[in-house]
Amino acid sequence: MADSKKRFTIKPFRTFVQMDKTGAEQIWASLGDAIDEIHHRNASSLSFEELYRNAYNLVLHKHGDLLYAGVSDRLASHLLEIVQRLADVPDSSLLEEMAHAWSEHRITMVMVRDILMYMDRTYVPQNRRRPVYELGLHLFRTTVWEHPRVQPRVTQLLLDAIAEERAGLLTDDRTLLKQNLGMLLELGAADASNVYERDFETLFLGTTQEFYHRESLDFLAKNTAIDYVAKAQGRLEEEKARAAALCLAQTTEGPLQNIVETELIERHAENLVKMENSGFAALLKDETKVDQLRDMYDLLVRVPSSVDYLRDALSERVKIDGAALIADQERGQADPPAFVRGVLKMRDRYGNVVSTAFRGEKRAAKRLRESFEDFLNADARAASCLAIYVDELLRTGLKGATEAEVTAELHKVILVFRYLADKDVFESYYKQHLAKRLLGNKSVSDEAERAMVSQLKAECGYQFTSKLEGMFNDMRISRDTRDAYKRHKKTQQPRQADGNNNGSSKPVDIEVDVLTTGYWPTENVPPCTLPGPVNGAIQLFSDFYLQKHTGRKLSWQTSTGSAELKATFGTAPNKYRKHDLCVSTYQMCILMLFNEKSSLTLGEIRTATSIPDQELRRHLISLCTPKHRILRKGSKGKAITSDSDTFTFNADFTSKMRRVRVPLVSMKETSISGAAGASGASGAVGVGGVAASGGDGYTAAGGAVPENVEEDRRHLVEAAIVRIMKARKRLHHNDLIAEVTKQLSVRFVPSPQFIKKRVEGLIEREYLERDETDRRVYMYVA
Amino acid sequence: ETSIYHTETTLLGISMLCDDLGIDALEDIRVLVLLWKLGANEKPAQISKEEWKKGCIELRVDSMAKFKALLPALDTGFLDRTEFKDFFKFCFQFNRQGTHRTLDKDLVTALIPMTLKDRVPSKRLSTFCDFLTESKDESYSRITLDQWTSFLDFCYEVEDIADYDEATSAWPVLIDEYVEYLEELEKK
Repeated sequence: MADSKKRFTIKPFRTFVQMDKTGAEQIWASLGDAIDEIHHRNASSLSFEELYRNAYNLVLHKHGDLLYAGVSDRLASHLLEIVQRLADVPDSSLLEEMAHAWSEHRITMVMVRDILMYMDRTYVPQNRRRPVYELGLHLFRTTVWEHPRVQPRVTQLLLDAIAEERAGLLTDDRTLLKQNLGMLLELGAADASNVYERDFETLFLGTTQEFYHRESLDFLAKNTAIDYVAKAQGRLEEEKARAAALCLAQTTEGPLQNIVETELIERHAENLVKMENSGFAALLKDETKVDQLRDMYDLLVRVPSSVDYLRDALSERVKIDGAALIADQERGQADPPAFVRGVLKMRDRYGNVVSTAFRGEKRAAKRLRESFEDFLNADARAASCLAIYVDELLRTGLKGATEAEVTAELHKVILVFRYLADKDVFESYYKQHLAKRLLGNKSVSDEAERAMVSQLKAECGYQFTSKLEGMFNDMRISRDTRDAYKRHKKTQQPRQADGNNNGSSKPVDIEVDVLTTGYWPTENVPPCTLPGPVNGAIQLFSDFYLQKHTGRKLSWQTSTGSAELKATFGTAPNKYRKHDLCVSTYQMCILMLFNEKSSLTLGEIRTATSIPDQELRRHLISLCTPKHRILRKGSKGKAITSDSDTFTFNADFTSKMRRVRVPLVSMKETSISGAAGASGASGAVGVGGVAASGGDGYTAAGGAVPENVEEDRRHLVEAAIVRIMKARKRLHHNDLIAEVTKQLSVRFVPSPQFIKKRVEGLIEREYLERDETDRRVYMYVA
Repeated sequence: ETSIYHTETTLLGISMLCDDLGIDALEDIRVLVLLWKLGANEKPAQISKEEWKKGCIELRVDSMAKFKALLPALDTGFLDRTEFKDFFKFCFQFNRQGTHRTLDKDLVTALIPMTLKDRVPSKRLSTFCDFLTESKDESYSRITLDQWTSFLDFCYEVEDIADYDEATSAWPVLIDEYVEYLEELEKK
């Protein structure tokens, strides 16, 4: 009642008046009516202050129970009215009516709460009652929501609406859905019931799972993998957007995403990879499809475990392609440089797949590297092919290349080199080829050679390359020596002042390269028997050299070197044809014999020249080929039959050129490019062994590890074992194996068995012994 | 009796002793046991005068009769594992030629059955000797001490080859290959 405009006066202190039950009920009645009015949206006629005061007084005078019960009843009866109406509302308008009822109720409850705030603050906590607002919501839930003709229908309508959206049908405004769902969340929060989960979320997640389970199967059965990926991504985004738009609980979003990802991705990941023609594995075969691969990756990466399939497919692909490259090389359809080029191409291509399709993922990169290492290291073939590739580059391939191009090309070599387990095999072949190039003056450029060495040095350290640098040094010093020798010869008086050239005793001109043993690959072939004039020349040079460098020893490498012979052909006196024959040292020795006799047997030639048999045959055959029939072979057919097979000087030999180069045939039937064999710069070579001419050094010998490398490995392993055991004194077998492997891995990867054999050898030689109590432990013997 | 020997006695002298004792110098393992107990360690295939004297004193034998009485005690069955290991090692060392460190394969295949007869299942002994005989590996034409002693340890430790783990084993490669051989046999 509007006393509010009265003047402020101080009233006398009023003693506390008890309110009796009747009084309370009266007050309650007016409050109850007020609540009705509020409920019916007629609150404008009410005085907030009066209502508040009434409620306040009731509570103050210990009538809280009455008030609370009354409010509860009144609310319940209102809600009953509401639900009875709702229960009969048709489906088509139920959601709207529900939302409306809910929003109205909330407004009511806010106002009711405000009025009863004093009770909320005092009576409610003291008596452990539900606060008014929460009470209102709780009653709403139990009365309205949980009505058998309301809840099931609303739930179903909500799920149907979502299903329709998924089916692509346009839905009405999502607001209704949002409101209804929001209602459930608030109801659940109000009385700690799980109404949202029970009456919506669980079912929603269930239908979602069924839906995507079916849809993904259907779709995949009728479409390509790539179409599927697009569709799946679309669905995932759609679900996410819907969850946000509907304001689904945070706790729903996680499980929802999980379910969709499981059904769309995890279930089908393997299939997506293996599907014929359009799966990941199939697409890998096509270089142009990298973007599609990436789309697939982006989808599968949502379920990290699924990416395993992708990586497996990549690994498998590399394995297959790698095996094909090796097969080609084995069959001889691809020569070693082609093999290496193939590997480089593969590397580029699949490197791109990793960086683009896999978005540079480290695990994929690692897997790629491992796959390359696997197929390249099945045997030592890759190492020798790489060496041949480098040889080709440095002989001809890099001709005219700029410095930048040289660096780039050689860097690619290093990339493949890094994959190799048998790096020492590469080193051995590389060294052999280098020796041939240096001695034969066949390098495309000195800068390129040095660039290669410096790249190797950067990769492996100076120990790897110090000998190589020694080889370069030797060549430089040899040039100086040769100049000095020329000057020296001029100061010597010519021996035969009468000018009578008795060809068989006057020394010939020679050019010598002096090599330091230890730097150069060793051949260990004893020198053959050289013709007299050659021996004379050698003697003169030796005298000169050893005078300058006393204490040194020269050993002549007759398996290398080349010579120029002046040969006269023809029979009739005025039909002599003169030719200059460019031949290898061995060929020279052979041919010179025919100055004395016109026909010789194999056995006789061998005895006279002391050339090792294999090489002898090879050099002889190359002198009887159709194109260069300087000698005629007795037996028919290509091969030499026996020691008694004869060779006869062929005076009828003809050639268009004055200068005739007689190439060597290769050791194997199928010859590989440019087998020029051992022809070096003209002249025999000195100290130290030189490039093996066993075979032509170009064939990769089927991937076996060459014997010299094998021997080096034995030494290295033993040295490592001794070094480690000396430091550690006592070590368990497994630890020793691990330590040795680690120390040697820069050069090659020893097998545990290989190491074990060396250990046994050292036990026998009493460097090591087994521990008496534990035979798996080795001890160093001081 | 000790005076019949000079500075050392070789196999000839030993076989004379065996004749006196009535045992077969080539086939009877008790010869080796005796030499081992006497302490013939200095050089293979012989026993020095000092060793002989010392050994006889320790064994308390000073007459042929006492030797004969000793014979039963020379059975290897009396030796525990540790002692037998030592004896087995001696068998290797004593049978070497001069300063060689290895035994020829043929000698090994003869000695193994003889020395291990009652201590290792005969199947194991026979398959091992077969394996050695059939092997074409050059390096196995001579057997090292380590391989010899390892074989015994192997027989003790690995009764069932299914337990054998090559990857982590510190057994000599010979044993690894022997196990492979056994596995092949089992397949047939």
